[in-house]
Amino acid sequence: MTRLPLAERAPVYDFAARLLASEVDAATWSAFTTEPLRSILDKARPGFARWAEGEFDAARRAALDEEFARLFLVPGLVPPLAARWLVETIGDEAAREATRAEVANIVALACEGLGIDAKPDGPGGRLPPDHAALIFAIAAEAARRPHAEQDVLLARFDETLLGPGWAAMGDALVEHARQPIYAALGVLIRELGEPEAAGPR
Amino acid sequence: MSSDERDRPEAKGAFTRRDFLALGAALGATVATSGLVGCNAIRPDAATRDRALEGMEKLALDYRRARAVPTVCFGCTTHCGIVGWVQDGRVRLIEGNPLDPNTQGTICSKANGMIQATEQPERLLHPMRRVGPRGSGRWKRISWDEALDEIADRMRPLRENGTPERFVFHYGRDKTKGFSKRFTDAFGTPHRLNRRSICSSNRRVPLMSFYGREFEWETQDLEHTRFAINFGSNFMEAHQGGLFMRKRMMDARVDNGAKLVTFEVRPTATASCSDEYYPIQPASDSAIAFAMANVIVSEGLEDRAFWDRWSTWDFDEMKAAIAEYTPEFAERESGVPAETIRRLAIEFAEAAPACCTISNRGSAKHYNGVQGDRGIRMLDVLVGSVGKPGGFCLSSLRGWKKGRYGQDGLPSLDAPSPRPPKPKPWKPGTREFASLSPEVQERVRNFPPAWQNKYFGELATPSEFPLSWHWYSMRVGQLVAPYIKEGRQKVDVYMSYTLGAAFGMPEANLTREVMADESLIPFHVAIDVAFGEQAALADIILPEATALERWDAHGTNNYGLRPYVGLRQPLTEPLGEARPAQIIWRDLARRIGGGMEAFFDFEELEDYYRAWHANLPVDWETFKREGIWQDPDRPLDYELYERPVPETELAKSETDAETGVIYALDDTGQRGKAIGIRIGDEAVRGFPTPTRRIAIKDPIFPLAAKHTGLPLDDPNASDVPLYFRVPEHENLDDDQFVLTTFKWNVHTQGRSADWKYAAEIVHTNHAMMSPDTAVRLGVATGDEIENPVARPLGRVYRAGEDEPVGTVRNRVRIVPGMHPRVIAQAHHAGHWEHGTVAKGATGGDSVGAAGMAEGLPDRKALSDEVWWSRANGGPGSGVAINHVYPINAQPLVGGQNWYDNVCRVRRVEATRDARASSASRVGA
Repeated sequence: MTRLPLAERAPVYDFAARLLASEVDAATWSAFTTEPLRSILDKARPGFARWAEGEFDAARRAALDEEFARLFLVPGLVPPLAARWLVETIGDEAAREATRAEVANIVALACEGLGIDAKPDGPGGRLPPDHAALIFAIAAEAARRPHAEQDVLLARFDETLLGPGWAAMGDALVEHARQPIYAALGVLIRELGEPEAAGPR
Repeated sequence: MSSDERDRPEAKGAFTRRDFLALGAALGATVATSGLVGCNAIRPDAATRDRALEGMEKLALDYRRARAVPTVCFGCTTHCGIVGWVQDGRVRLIEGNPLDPNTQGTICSKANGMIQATEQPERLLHPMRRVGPRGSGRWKRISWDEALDEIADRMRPLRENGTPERFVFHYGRDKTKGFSKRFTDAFGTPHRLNRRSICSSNRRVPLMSFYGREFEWETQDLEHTRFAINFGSNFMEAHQGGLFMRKRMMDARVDNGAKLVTFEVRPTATASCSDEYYPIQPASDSAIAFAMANVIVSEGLEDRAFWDRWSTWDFDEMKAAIAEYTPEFAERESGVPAETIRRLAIEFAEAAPACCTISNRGSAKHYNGVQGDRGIRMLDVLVGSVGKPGGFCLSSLRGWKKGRYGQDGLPSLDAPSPRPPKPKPWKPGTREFASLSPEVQERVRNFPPAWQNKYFGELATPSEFPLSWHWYSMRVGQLVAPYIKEGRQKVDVYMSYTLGAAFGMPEANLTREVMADESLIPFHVAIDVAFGEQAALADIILPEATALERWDAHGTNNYGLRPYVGLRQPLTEPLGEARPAQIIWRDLARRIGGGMEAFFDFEELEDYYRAWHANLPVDWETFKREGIWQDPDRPLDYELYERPVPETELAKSETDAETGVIYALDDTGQRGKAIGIRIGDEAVRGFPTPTRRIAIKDPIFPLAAKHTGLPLDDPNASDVPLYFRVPEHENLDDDQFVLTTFKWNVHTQGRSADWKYAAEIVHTNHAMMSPDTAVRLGVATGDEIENPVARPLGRVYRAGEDEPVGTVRNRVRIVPGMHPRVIAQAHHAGHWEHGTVAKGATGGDSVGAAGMAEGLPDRKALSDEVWWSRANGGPGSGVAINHVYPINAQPLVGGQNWYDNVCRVRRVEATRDARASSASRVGA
């Protein structure tokens, strides 16, 4: 079974990047609580649709803000960094260590070669160079370009930094998330990371 | 949260490829892009793309693309010159700066640890506010504006209401060279507290007493020494400045045949590298030193001329006083054979003046350590090695401020003006004085005027410990929590900065209890780079830039004895939303307003530090490019005390007829600062002490005793150095031991516990003991023991109370070469915060905030890569031990007597079976 073309994964990468870089805001809430997204995410995380029926009021927002900090900012659960997750599936220890050390380098080289700039004034300031949101956003941006499917550099980026290691992060998110949107995000990231992304036909 | 929200999503496979495609289509139609990246206006050309592709294949530091930037390490407090190789906005490699005259281009593993400190996946990158009970681990990200506004709103009323002292600033590692003081002074609080007392105040006091405030740190000329005798310092491994010393010492041994002799309680790296190593009874260092002095004077090997010229203690009086300290006496105290002591004393004296003593916390952090270190330092004076090539030297000082002691003609370097006025002392009659307890008021009222002018309340200048602030404000950090608990100081806002008090203070449970109590600490702001135990008990966390991301001025004593300065500069922009501490305080000052902002009138930190170095005879860009400035033509710092006082200064001076001290005269003809001393016909600089001599006999000790109620017959009150036993070490039972602690070379106390590679090397701690001790106790490596630790017996905090301070359980490791009365455990391990790598699996004895066990965060998931975690079958991340060490502040001085703790040792039964079972699991 083959992976979906990057172009078809790209919108999900963009969505994941948004959710990993900053807390849920009114616009994002509105988007994923509206059909058809709501129903689709309910398949990723049963119960999502019912949860998403509520208002995006102060209490909801506070709970989501706290969840974001708990999962991604406070140490221990799901640091959204490639150095933490991406290399775990690399069997060879030397290659694993080399890749861990070089993720940021690959990102920088990809940005240089693809002509993409990370915006330093994003919602999280200067994102660490191996931040999942940054990697996913680069993928999404590059995939939207004409002839992206023939781009050797992008293919290398895809092979190296969008590989199966993310599934572990997805699993961790699924395990630790208390708010359904992040559990759903975990499923999406898990599927993105699966070798045969995304899931059975 | 409803139960529904805690439901688990369905198993893998429920979300189908069809779903995924539908999701993509829906997202494309409804959700805008993340906006995190943008396209360059010009698409890269083929060559750029090829180079990028090639780079991705090679995956290596590419020196063609990398940029070398010098800066100053902050892996520990030694502050070595380093060069960072920066590629694509990331520091890839750190090497030594060959221009650094102190390091001579060398570094240790902690330098590259700075990269890990910067890049570790769980670093603090965003301001956060707690949203649950303090310490519950519930947080939300907030903006800098929200954070600073809230803090300013808390602080401003204190200043406006005239109670700025209710803002307490407490730092652990502040190397901003006074920038935080600018902030606290501008705010008006004297409470800029630190952790010096748990580090080095006991070893600084003997030096400042002997040589003056400017010489709180010595600078042995190890490069040229012939004989160095080391009393418990582990400078090859963990001593501040150790990196500067170890290469010189080893070079001297190899190239010049120099000898290094070490007295220690355990076989440290330094002991292992010594020509001779003697495991000694804890706290007996100075018995050996006094016996050596006894031998030297008995054999007539002293430099009598030097002693008579510079010492404040009459030679014959000294000789009579040390007569009781025979080598045989020292053998009984220390275990070192008398003949060995006699031989070493003669070898030491015969090497003079190219010989020196070395000591640090090992000898000084005992109840007898201050007086003992005075005895150790006396050896250098006795043989006349002070300031001589190969001897015990004192270097020109950092800062190079006008009027400070040191070589003449150094460029004046100082922080830019305007600078805020200092807070006013809490003299009788002031509002602050009225807030003190009657007992403290009475004590302060009787202080000499000079001390009243330095008194700022019990947190900043505890009146029972005047020698913690007589020379300068070293504070007594381990008493901050109990003093706040006792109500000695009302606190409204507490700001901790790179402080690990909740983990690392003695009786750390008490610190955590106070930090957790909102009635005692209503508002706690933590500034740090990592989410440690201190930050976990904050209300707001502010993420700080790491040392690779910020500016600082750098100056320290040079073991090469030629003055120099360095520059810390950012190699990369701060990650996330982290900011340099200086910017945090600047922006906070601007929000608080009320005139504070006037002292922070700069936009770019680089401008601030450029102004600081305006007088350097080198252009700013060159200084930045080289990272170090030194005048190669300057003389070395030998015999600074023999420099003649210039005629121009003598012309406006007056000499005290009785003492010979030369005082500068002000415009009205009044005596001002002492500038030298007349000895015979010579007018020389002397030492920056009140007598301009080496104050081996120093009346400051009995004076301090008199004003604090310490009996004058207490040995700590003695004006001359002397040896005495630590009270609780007398008559130890067979199952009683001295529980000592230490630092590892790859770590910087507990702060580096989240550096993955450092933690891979050293991630746990053990209860180390000698083979003989193990046989006597019937234990083997791997067995679990428990150590209840007793309160001390001297005139210290809660002395003599029956209940143990606490009990620690740990695994035995047998270490040949240890003294049989010693159990040694490293204090850096056993974190329950500080991230996944630091925690691994926390030790069984690790505890959370007092009374808050229910509210602590869940045990976090462990990465498979933390291979030493218990979950992965490893030994775990060690045992937190700092809560069992009693607060034991040295009388008068306040230094924590870390190495006096008496414990019993009990074997925890059945651990052998468990160990065997564990071993079989690992084997399987």
